[in-house]
Amino acid sequence: MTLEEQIHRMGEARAASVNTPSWRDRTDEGVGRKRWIGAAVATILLIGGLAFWPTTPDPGLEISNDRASSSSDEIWVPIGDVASVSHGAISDWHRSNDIAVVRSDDGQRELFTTVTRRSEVVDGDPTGVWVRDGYNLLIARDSRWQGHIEVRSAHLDVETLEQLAVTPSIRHSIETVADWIADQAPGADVVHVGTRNPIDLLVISTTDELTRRSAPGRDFIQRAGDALDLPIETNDLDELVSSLPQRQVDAREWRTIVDGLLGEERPQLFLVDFDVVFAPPVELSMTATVVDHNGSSSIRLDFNDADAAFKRARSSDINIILGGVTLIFGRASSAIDAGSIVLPARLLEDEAELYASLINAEWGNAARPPTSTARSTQTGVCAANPVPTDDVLDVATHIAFDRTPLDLDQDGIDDEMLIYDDVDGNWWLVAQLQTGWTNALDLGTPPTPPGLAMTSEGVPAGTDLDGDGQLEFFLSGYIGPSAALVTLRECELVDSFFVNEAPEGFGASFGVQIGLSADISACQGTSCATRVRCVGDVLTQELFFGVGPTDLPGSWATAEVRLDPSGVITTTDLPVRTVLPFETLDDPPTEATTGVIDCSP
Amino acid sequence: MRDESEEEFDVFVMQTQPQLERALAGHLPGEIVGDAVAEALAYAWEHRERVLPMTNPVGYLYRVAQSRSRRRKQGLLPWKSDDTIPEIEPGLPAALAGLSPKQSQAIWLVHAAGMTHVEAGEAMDISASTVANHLGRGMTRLRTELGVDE
Repeated sequence: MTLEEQIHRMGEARAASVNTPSWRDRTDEGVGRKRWIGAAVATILLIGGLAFWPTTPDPGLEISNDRASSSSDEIWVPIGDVASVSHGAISDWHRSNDIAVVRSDDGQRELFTTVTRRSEVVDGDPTGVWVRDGYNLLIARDSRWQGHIEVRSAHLDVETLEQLAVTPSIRHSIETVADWIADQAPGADVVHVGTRNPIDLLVISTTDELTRRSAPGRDFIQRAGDALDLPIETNDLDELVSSLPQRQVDAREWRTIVDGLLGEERPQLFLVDFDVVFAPPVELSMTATVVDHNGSSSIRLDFNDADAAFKRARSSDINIILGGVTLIFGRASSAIDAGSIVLPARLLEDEAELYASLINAEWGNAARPPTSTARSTQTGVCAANPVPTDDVLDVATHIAFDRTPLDLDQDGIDDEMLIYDDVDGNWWLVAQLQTGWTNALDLGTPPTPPGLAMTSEGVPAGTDLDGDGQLEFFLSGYIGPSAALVTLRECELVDSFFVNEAPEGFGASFGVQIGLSADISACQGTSCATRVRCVGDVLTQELFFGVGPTDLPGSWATAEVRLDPSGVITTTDLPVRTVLPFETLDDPPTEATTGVIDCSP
Repeated sequence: MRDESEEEFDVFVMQTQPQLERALAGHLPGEIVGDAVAEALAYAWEHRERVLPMTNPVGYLYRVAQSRSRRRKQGLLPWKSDDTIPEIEPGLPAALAGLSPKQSQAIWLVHAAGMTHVEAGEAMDISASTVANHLGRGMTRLRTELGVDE
């Protein structure tokens, strides 16, 4: 019995032992539970609202609390009779440290805006909830756990929020919120957590629709959720935190990673308490200055060439998180397009100065030259149809390769690639074009040796080796024989092969076995060759690249190979020869032979 | 009196429940698979207008079940049923559990639950080609771990 058949048998046996209770009962229970949990969340809303109810309402947002009342076990949140603000006016949501219900301009939609200031979260009752329709954001803070839950959920529609607002409630906990989230957004991933302030870790859940765009985010959250499990145990959290990257992460590295995680529409935000996690759109530069805002400090960002930057950016969202403080969260394109924005967060003066200096150091005009408008006209192969990263990118624990410039799409502009391993020990290759397109590929086992670096020297990067209209990229290790060939196929990275060791007898160069379906014919890149041979009883096509340590020549058996669908191959054998690394195989074929290689024993 | 939608949903349950149970049996502890399936089906009922027309509702409900069962992943007891299959490699369950989550999930969905790569990809929210990657690498690791050739 093959291994596959054994696994099939396991599936049969396990399924036979499953005893599924009636789903109808669950439906009834679910209704009851929803009501209870909804009530609990409403309690959070109220407690949060009361805790941060302003003594002097922000003049920019009219607040009515006539209908607010509370008792030990019943709480009502005002709804519908408050201020009229423009729906989606993100600059308003930060204004007050209170709870408010606002009506959109069209008069049809009502939504909560509950905002807490950081100082109050730290020093005061840290219980609060933000619910922001349009951004579908819920943040719950719980005084007992001092945890932090954040959810973006398309299921948190206005009607749901209204229902929550008028639901009598009982005492709550983060667990009940998590339950409620699970009910409201059953496809969503839950979401945690931080045990200390400033927040150590924030993981955000998304709905099915959003996670579909960012499976890596879902996986990350899954691991976090699995590691934590509810109720939150401090030890568990410490374990999780300790498993996350501990070293200081360069902002640019993080930008690459976060960009990949966020995807085109930036449905998620990831905050890990590194000093700087900053994921602005590509090529955006800015100058940060501290401004006074009614006694507190904020930061104003002045963008240079913001219009050009955003035309090239994948998203008009911007997320800036510094030291656990969210300075900007969400869509801010209109403000940025205007050339400047005052960040929502209200800070102590020294905090603001610190963050401003960090922003300037990382993303200021001096650190990042103004965007070249000439680049906005580039036409890379994936420029017209960018594909968000949605498959395999994970949070890295170790970035083996720095971002390496390679013109992957041959548009004359350097793109970038990096390789890193994730928390599971899997290795990933990430390619990011300057068009904003990003994709990643699971390389599986670690390269040998692990200290690889990519090189563009002698590499036929972005070459259509097999003439199928798709570009092949070739990455090689400069220390050892590890190498990978990846194919960009309809804007998705596909690994053709990845090798850790050179084939026997081929010295420092390396060879790669490719199945017949790979259909790679004449190798037209520099220092490459192909061969077809029998490996056992399997007809195998091999492609060789002459890349290795520069002081070690390799002996090559080379051949030009072409396959047709019937399995007939045409080979032009070249003599075994020694090829120095990066030497171009420019010898023309001398004799072509056509035939069938019979690999049968 | 049962209406038409209930009858239609009963058919849907008959079609999806077995595969859902089987798919989840590779990912969840045995004691909670039934609960997870019931929760997922309850969700399907509540959202039947959206779920029933799906091309791969099992994949979708697989994720729903995972989400709803997440907080119950406490026990992680081994499956007793594995002990009753004499013809499997003794180390196979442990070796499967030792793979990366994606690899084990891909292997289970394809080989144990009989999903296609596309279906497994939808269940895992990854592309079919990535499923194939995880599947291939996972099987290679399994064979290496167990010292088997096929």
